[in-house]
Order: sequence, then C-alpha cells, then structure tokens
Amino acid sequence: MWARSVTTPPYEMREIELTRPLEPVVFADGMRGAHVVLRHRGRIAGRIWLERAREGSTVSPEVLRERIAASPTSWPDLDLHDACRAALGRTEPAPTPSLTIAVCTRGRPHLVGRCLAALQAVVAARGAADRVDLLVVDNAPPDGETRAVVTAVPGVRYVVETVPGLDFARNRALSECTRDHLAYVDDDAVVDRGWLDALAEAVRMSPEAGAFTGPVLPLCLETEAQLRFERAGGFGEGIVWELHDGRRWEDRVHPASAGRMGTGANMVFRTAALRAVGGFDEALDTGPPLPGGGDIDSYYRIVRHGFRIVYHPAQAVHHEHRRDMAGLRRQYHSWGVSLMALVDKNRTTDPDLRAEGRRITRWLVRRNLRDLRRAVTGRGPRVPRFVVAELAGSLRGMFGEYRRSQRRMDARKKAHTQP
Amino acid sequence: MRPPAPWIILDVDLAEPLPPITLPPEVRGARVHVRYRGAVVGVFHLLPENTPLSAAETGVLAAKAASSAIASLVRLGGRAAPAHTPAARPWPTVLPAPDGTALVDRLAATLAERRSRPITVSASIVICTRGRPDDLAACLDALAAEIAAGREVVVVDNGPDAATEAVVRSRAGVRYVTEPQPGLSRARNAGVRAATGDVCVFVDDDVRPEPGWIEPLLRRFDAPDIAVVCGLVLPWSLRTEAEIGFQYVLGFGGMGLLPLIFDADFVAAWPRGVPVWLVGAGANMAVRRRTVLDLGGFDERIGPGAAGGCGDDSEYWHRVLFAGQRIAYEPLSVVRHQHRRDWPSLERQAYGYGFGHVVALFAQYGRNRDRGDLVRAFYVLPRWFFGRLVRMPLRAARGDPDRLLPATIRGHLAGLRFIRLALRRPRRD
Repeated sequence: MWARSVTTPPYEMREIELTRPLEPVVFADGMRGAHVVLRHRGRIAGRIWLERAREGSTVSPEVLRERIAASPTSWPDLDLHDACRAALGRTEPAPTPSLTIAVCTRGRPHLVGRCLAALQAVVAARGAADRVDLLVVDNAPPDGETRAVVTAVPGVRYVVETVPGLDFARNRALSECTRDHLAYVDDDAVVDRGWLDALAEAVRMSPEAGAFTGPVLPLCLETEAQLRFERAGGFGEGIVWELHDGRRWEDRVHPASAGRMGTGANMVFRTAALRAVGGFDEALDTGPPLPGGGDIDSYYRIVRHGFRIVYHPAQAVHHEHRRDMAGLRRQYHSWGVSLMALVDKNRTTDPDLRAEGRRITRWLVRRNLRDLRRAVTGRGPRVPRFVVAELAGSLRGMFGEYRRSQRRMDARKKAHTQP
Repeated sequence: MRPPAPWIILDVDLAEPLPPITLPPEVRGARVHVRYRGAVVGVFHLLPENTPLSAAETGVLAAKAASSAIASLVRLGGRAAPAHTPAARPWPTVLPAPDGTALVDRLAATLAERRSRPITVSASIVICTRGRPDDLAACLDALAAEIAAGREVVVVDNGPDAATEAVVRSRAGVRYVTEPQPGLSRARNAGVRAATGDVCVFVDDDVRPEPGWIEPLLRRFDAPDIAVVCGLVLPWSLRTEAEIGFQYVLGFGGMGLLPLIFDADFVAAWPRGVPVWLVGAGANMAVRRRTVLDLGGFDERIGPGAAGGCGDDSEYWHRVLFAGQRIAYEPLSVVRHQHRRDWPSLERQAYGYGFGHVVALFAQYGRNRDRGDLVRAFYVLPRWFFGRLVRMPLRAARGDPDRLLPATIRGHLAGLRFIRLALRRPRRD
C-alpha cells in the first residue's frame, strides 16, 4: 500500500542494462530510493522504482529480477521489431534525418548550456553534424547572458524572438527552419544518448508521419516536488511504442486526450506537416497565466489533419522537473487551465469532436475528485493543494480563458510590431 | 466503440516479411491475427484511419500485440499455465537471454520443442451434422489431407437426409452414421460409439480446420488423466454485424493464446460455480473415447436439439473435472468458425446461450451437487443481468446498445423450467 517513503526525497538515478548480469544495487548514503531506467542494448525499455524503506540498503539481484519481471517493459517489442526488420532484409542502421533542433528558452542561461552539450553529443556520436542544425531561440531576453552562453558554443545558431510567449518562439523556429524535420527540446531537458538513433529509426519507418515523440523521464529526483510529480505519473505517456492517428480502436476520448500522445519537452515535426497545420497557436503557452497547451494543441491538429504521430519508447529526454512545491502547484493550475482552454477552443474550431471534448472534461473532473479523495486521506502522490489548483485551473479554462488569452496576445503582438 | 460492418480478417506472420497494410475502401475495420510460424501469438485491430501502414509500421503493431503472449510462452518454456485461477496470471515480462539470443529465436525453440513431442494416441475425426450439406461439403474439403492420409472420419447425420448422405458417400474413406433422434449430445455419443480411435476429434460442420490443427490436440493427451483437449477457435469472417456481434458481444473464442491446464486447483478456485465455459469451445474439441464411455457419454437431455441452446460440451467438461480428470487447452490447434451471418440467427443464438447455460448448470448440480452452480443460476447471473439492464438506456444513449441482452435474459428465464434436472440424478443406462 501507499507509504510515506514513496514521496520522501532524495532518490538516486540509476540505469540497468538488461542484457548484462544483474548486479546488486547499493543505495548511496542519504538516498531514500532509486529510479532505475532499464535499457536493452542501450535503448530505453522501461523503468522500476526501488524504495530503501522496502528493500533495505542493498537490493540483491534476485529481488531486482523480481521487480523487473513485475514491471511492464518494452524490450520484447523492440527485440521483435528488430526481428521483423531482419525478416524484411533491412538490418543497416537508419540514416540521420535532415533536422533542425530548436531550443526555445527565456532567461535560463545555466540550463541552455547543458541542453546544448547533450544535443551536440548525440549529433557527434552519429557523425551527423552536416545533417543537423542547432538553433537557440531566445524569447524576449531580459539580458545578454543567454546570448553569451550560446555564442560560446560553436556551431549553434542564435536568434531572438522579441514577442514574449513560448509559441511565438516556436513559430519563429519554424520560420527559421530549412530542414525536413524540426525538433523542439526544452531548455530544462537533456536528450537521452539514444534519442537521435530512435528518431532516425522512427523517421525511416514512417517517412510520411507528421510528428515523432517519446518519453519524458526525470533527470533528477532531489526534491519533494520533483518526486511527487514523477510519482503522480510525470508526463505520463509510458515507455511503449505507439502510432497515433485521428482515431483509435475503441477509444472514445481520442484525440481530445491529446496529452497522452506526447509532451512539448520532446517533440519532432516533419516541417511540412507542421506548416500545413499552421504552426503553433500563439494564444497558448503565453507565460503566466496560461503557460501550457501549445504542444498538445499542435498534436491534436496534426492527427486531425490526417498525419500520423510516432511515439518511440527509446526517443527519450530527461527533464528537470519543478523543484519547489509552489512552482509545481502553479504548474498543475496551468495544466488545468490549458486542457480546458483547449476543449473550449476545439468546441468552436472542431465541432465534430465536441462529444470527445465533453468526455475528456468528465475524465479530468473524475480523476481530480479521485485524487482529491486520496490526497486528503494521505494516500497518493499529489497533495490536496495540487488537486485543488488543477480543478480551479480547469474551471478557469472552461469559462473563456482561451478567448481572453487570444485578446491579450493580439494586444501583445501589436505592441511589439509597432515601432 | 467498435466500428460497423464490414470488417476484414488479416493474418501476418512474424517469421516472414511483414506486409504493408492498406484496407479496401468499403472496409470499416480490420482484425489482424499475428502469428509466428503459424502459432497465433497476438491480435490487434485497425480502423481505416490507422492505415496505410508501411511494412515496418505493421511490424510495430504486430510486435506490440504479440510481445506479451510471446514473452509468456517463452517464460512457460513448454509447460502449460494453470488456468484462470486468480493466482495463475503469469506477468508477461521475461528477461533477455544472457547469451543475447533474440526473443523470436527463443520462441522458435519453444515451439519446435512442443511440436516435436510424440503422439501416443490414435484419433478419429467425428463430424456431427444436421441438414447443412453445403457446409458439410466445405468442411470435408478442408479435411481432404486428413482423409487422404487414412485418418478415420465419421460423419454422424442427426437429420438424417439424403442430401447429406450423398455428400458423404461421394467421398471415399468417410464413414456415414445416422442418429435419427435429434440432439447434438446423442449425435456425439453415436460418433463416439462408432469411432475406433483412442481419441475423438470433434469438428463442427460450420468449422474449417487449419492444416495441422489435429496434431497439437493429440500431443496434449500425454497423461492418462487428460480427458479433453480444446483448441483455439478464430472467426472465419467478420463481414456482417451478426458475425461481429457473435465474436465480440457473445464473446465467442476468447480462450487466449497460452496453453492451459484445468485441474483440481481450477475447480477449487471457484466457490460460486466452476466457470467451465472458460475451457474452450465444442467447435474445436478432442475427447478420450474411453473416458466418455466410462462417464456415461454426453448428457442427452441437454444441448442443441434436446433441451436446446448449448451446454452439451461444457456439462461434460464439468463432469470430467469433478471426476478428478484434467482438461488441456492448446492454442497451437486452430480452427476457423463460420459465425451466424444474420442478426435474427444471432439473437436466437444469444437466447440459446442464456437458455443452455442455465440448463447445463442444473444438470451439473444434479450430478455433482456443487452448490455454486445454483448460486450462479439464481443469484450471480440474475444480478449480472440486472446490472446490464440498468445500464441499457445509458449504453443506448451512447450509441452502443446492448442488443443481445433481452434475448439472453429470455433464454435464461425459459431455462429455469428445467429445474427438474437439478432435483434428481440421471439414471445410468
């Protein structure tokens, strides 16, 4: 059952390669548990949680084997797919797609350097510097620090988008992009070493797809907020292989449940497809008070235009979650706002799927009421104020926040385009 | 929610190059069977929106659909899983082999081992038929290889009629037996008496066995207390709403992809009536002839043609289990079943299932006095029906009406008048 230790930080970040003999896990001093990423021949294939309070200070290989066997892993899928490819006579590695990787950032120079270093490492590992551009879009920079960090890194283009708002920055990246594919990686994320390999594999497999995405795993779990967020499901898409289209078998909320298709921290588009759906909606992701939703809105429109989204379990990024509880509470509030603002938006722009929108609304309310019940009885990873924040946010989203945001954005755009 | 008819059925084999998938324009859904060297290891569904699929994308969906059954088969390593007891759900994950052997190669080794086991019993094929000469002819065509190889084939005509007899007489090496008194149980018993093999493999006239379906059944008769072996039944086509409803609403053929064993633990795990219908389907069943004769044959008071509906097969399975014998389920044996094509037939079938089920429960209680069967007939099922009744308007409003429930309930109520089967034990002839 639910134990307090599950949300008591810090947790250490570990990895296990499944094809090697298991070795005992010895917790470092002060660590209350471990988040273990499972890999199969280097590709991310699952994860398990270990708690010191349950396992003791050392976890033997036998216990590890049990824990791994009791958790869903995607290595059989990957292994079988390799066999299918072999049966098709295709065993050569996939070529690197022609790609622009955009990092949209605002006033976080210390994060940008780390993000760029990881990206350059995966590009260099494939020897693909001529096929891949790195682009930093600095959004309404308050000072010159980000410019200083980026210009110190060779081979990275730096542009400034003066209108504040994440989707203004994303659309700027789209207009700057000359490659076939455009990747967005958050500045507080670090791509996995297999990220580009998995993307190459996915692009070769589905050259006509509109978007390519994958899991967003925690980079570190040092604070209570980070641990609670990840325990509550994190970005919540799982380490599985998925192909998303406009409809899903026996699914009555898809694609209104666009959040299940992927997250903005890890998204790659076929540039032509993103242009065909009109880029990002600038009325979303505007910074407080409506800081989310542009990513899932774009996924929604991609599948509604008949493009496929490929979710590859190994195309993973590691994301540094909010460190403080107050920040996480605001985040939940904004997710509530943005999900319902999207439902509100789609009710007018896409009336065919109103029923799906109503169902996702009911789902959100039901899930939050369940979580609230758990939270007040001390079970469950979310504390009551997170749930209340999300509910309050969704109420605001339901009642006209999207249109208010549109008006604000029009005003903001005007203010920045007038000399 | 399931899409409307028509659907198509596709088969892909992981051991061969996978095909790209495009659906014909009129098709509204597809059911895809994933196989590995013929063994069914997964099923997935497609909507028109999910296609076209490249070969590699087919590979992703096939791998996803098959990974759990393949992992379980590898993990079982040739053993049969204990059936449907709460503790017997093997989690799908296996660990990679230390020597790096690919999962498909481990599966190939498991399958090869299971397919190389010796067959220690002789077998006769028994086809019970009644007034469906065209279906029977197609069925016999599907058995041509077995007939040519000299397997004993007995057709029991429960009509009997001249057209059926002509179909049988036109094929050399097929024996024709008549059972003029109507009743599938009677016909089965006549077939068992006429056959000479250790094992009778029953094939329904609306079933098309896949080549090589019989050996996997026979291999599982590897101990004297294995009295019945059932195999996998897949739909022949899903072109009409009735066929789809039979497969997905009446829940036909949901027997799973892992080899199972039903034994005393299975009986003990179910205090509210032993769910013998989980064993399989009479459409793909082999029985040890000696045991049928020892246990008094199929119950001639119940089943199609007698009391009506169904239950002739499951009542026998119940008796086998209560006699301390075991039943195996073997998904390597695959037959395809031609479901009812029109909706009125499907409603009659739903009525028959509701009816036959309660009659079989009474007959089972009459023989074995397991109070769970009465609890099921008078409490568990009515409560379940009530719950579905209450939800009926809601489901209708959602556009997913529970169309077969009324017929099922009517069948159940009509079956209650056979309570006399529960009150006294059958006379032994």
